[in-house]
Amino acid sequence: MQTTLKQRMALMARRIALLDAMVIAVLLLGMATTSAIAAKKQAPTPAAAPADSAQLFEPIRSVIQSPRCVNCHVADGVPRQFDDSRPHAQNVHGGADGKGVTGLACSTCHYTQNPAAASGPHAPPGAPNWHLAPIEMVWYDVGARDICLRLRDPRHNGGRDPAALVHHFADDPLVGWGWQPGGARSLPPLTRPQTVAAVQAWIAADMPCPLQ
Amino acid sequence: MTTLNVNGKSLSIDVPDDTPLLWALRDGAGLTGTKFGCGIAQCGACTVHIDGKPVRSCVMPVTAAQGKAVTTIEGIAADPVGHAVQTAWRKLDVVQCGYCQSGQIMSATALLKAKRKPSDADIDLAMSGNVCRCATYVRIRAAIHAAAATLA
Ligand code: FES
Ligand code: FES
Repeated sequence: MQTTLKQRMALMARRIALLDAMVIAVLLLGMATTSAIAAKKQAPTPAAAPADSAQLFEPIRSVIQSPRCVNCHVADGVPRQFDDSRPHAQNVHGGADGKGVTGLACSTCHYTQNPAAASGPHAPPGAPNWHLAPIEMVWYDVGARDICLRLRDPRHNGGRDPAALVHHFADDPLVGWGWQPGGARSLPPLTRPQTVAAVQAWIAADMPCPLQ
Repeated sequence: MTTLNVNGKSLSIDVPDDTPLLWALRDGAGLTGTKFGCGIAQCGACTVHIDGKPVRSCVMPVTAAQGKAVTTIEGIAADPVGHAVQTAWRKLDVVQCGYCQSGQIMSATALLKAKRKPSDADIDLAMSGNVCRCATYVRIRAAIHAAAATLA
């Protein structure tokens, strides 16, 4: 978590520095001569420089490790709940297929849609095909680099090629529930379109992974 | 107006679409054997079967049950497994105050329909969503084994 905070701070500092640089550049441009502008146009701009890997993966990591996603990408078959990812009440287990145990399927309480608002902020949410992610796709308690490596490896991402990965983020109804969780649940830090754009940018750059 | 198939009968129930099935059954159909405990799927008292599978009726919108077979505690004796469970329940005198027991019997029946010879661990996992404030858990587990034995 420390590293994550540091990374975020560094990212913010970089963004602020970039913003400062842009403001100064605009001022300089205003004062510059026409020939100086022409010369400046030919010089490489920071935006054209290759983006660093951590920067491209970090937005994706921030979403898939948000509670709405990570609470079902667990290693021990026990779904998590709430923003502190506490183990699911009632000793609930995902069972062999991630859809619950014999006699207590997830669908006993989680239907294909969220309950009516009148049920209050913490009634069991719902979406089509409610289930835990398979064991190969664990994001809970995993470092950014390992998540990244797993996400781009078809053996760990449910056999998905880049197009199928985009589809998972963009169209899967259960994944989409993360952005419409109902009740009093918090949302991932990016919207769904922002997340899809981040995944596409990462794929376009050949899926680079951060060093840690 | 919602039409539901409850315990083999077609019922017309006049409730708004987002009414939880529990209240459609209790207030709309007058089937008060299914109990309200928490209203947020935390206790299991409201358990009924939809197409033979257990659900918590307190959070299921009545519209989600349309076109499906709803079975409540009032109709479970017609099912041989449900009958065996109720018989074992009586024989072992499982019930204390009784408030949770409609839900317990519905969950136990669903478990035995899916697994005829459950182990203690199977029972504990399947029944962990049904709370009993009188703590009849030990008798519940024994009665499930007893019902399983009569069904063998
Ligand atoms: S009343 Fe439905 S689970 Fe408690
Ligand atoms: S018998 Fe009293 S609550 Fe279960």
